Amino acid sequence: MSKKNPEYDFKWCPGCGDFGVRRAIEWALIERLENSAKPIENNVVVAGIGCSGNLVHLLEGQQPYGIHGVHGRSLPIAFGVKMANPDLNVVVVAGDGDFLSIGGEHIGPQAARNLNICAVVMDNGVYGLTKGQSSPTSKVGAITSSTPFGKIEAQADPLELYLTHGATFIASGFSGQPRELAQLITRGMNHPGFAMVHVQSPCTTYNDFFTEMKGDAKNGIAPLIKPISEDHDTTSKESAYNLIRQPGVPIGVIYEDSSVATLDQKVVDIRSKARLKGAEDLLAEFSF
Amino acid sequence: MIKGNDAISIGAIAAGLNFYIGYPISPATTILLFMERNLIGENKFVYQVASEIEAITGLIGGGFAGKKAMTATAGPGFSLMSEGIGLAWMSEVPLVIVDVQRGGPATGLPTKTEQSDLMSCMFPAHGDVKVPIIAVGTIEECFYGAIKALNWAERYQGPVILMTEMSLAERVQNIKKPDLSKISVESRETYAGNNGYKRYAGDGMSPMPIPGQPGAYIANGSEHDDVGDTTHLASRHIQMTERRFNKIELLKENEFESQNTNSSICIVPWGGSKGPALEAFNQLKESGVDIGFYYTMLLNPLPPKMLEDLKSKELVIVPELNFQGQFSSILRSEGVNAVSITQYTGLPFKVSYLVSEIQKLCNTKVK
Repeated sequence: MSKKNPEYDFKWCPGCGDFGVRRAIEWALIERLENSAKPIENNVVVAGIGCSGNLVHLLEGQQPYGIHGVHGRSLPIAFGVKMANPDLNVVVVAGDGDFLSIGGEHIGPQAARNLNICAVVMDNGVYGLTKGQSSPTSKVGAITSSTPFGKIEAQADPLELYLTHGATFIASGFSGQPRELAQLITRGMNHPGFAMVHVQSPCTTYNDFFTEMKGDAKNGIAPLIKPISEDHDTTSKESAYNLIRQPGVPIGVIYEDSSVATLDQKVVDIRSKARLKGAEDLLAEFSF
Repeated sequence: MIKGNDAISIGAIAAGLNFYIGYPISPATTILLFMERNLIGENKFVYQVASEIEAITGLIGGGFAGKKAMTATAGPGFSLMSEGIGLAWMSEVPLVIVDVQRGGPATGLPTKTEQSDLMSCMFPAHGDVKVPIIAVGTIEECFYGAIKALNWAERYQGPVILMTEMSLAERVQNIKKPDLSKISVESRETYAGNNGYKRYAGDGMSPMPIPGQPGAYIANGSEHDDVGDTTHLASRHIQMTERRFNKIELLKENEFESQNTNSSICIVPWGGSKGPALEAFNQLKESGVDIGFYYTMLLNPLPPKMLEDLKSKELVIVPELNFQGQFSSILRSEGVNAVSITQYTGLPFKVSYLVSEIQKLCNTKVK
């Protein structure tokens, strides 16, 4: 609501990758409105804390519901929303620090449950809002405000992490290609299960790797991003591991398994095994 | 014959509970187990999550999406919920946390009883927060207290803490069968207009929109304006802080028990110390001691009439199972001349001990 709201005083830096991610999410929401009979209020955006989380306030156009919670907890909040009302389309927006560091413990359980949501992670390899500290995806040796002598711990590999935890949809995108990214987010939203869309979203102030991603032919810099070839088998975990382990950043859908039941389906299945009871039935089980 | 944790579980279900998530922890686990067996059916959800952090933040998602949401935990789990409780207070999401008290800080005494979480429950989070508290003292109160806790959460749209303790949780007792036709169940006031709603406008409780229905807003843990966008304006922080505290006024009720209210000295137990304190009171009264008795399970906000009475007393004696005298400290901050009789053995009070300690305090006062 930024355009209309003078009280809201947060701004992304000029050129921030998150602008592209925001646009892609807006387009994916618009496409969803056009292709489903569900109104905008059927969508909930659950945001983490950091530059990325502010996306929930900066969305333009029709406004979905939002939660801007506490640091690292976007996934369990989204779990609560989705399981309260499985009819809602729930989208998580978070950054690499929020999602992979403080919130890292929540990825495994939600993947194991196959919670039917789409999580969009904006990876800028740095803590931007707190001014440039090392994050799980900062490179080894990176000089940041909190690693003045170079980062000494290993760089996390988010795509391999999601795959190992059992996410049933994994896509990799780039903020500099919002049209393509919107398509990946749409596929993630439509996927029946736990969908991860991991986005390279450079920080122009503290970790600008835009040129590294995009490449610069004039100066002989080859692009790191590589569109995933059409013959990649998205249904094979082995192919997915092989793809991720090659140099560069694959762009597109890495893995997709629509055969696993979602958590909300499994919860419905349990009802047939139990005798349904109200308070009066429960009281009747005790002697008074 | 029913135990405290089962009475809480059925009470919550009678109040319309339809969303329960929790993590195993003594002595709260039996509430999770009860729900896993019984909170099943259309529009109901129960789940064992991966931690208390997942429990409280998942509860916020459930409450935000329109559910009557509850979890139960004990000290260590409650500590992990601190930040999430602040988020529920800040974003105005109804939910109930049952704190089944055990002994000590950290892992402490997992299988012993104590009443040492009162300060933590009343001030569970950083910043200006004071959470409504209902503390039950008998097995029957476990049932009715759970109903009231859910009603309060719905009424003021925020977190409510239901305090119980180890000595009640697993105590099996014969009680009068609750009459479900006589309980009153409340549900939050929901918003029924169009999109473009200002969810946080005004100085007090306002109708809450539910996702899926028009009225989209952002439930925000950062200080926010009336639509839920983050702001740092002093005028907004003043308005919203006052709004959050004003809502507590909706919970002020004059529900308390009292005997011999003309006496200038009275006994005021809380929680599970009610039983031994009431017995001690009866023995002292029979032996001719001029003493009064007050009790409520509504610890925040306290019943206004009871607080007014207590302020007029020469001495208020609070038997409580903690070292610091937590409830008497709260009463003193409200202007009551209160002292505690404390015990921190991990066991409930013995009546004979209370009789002699109360007698000593009375004698000192008379001299």
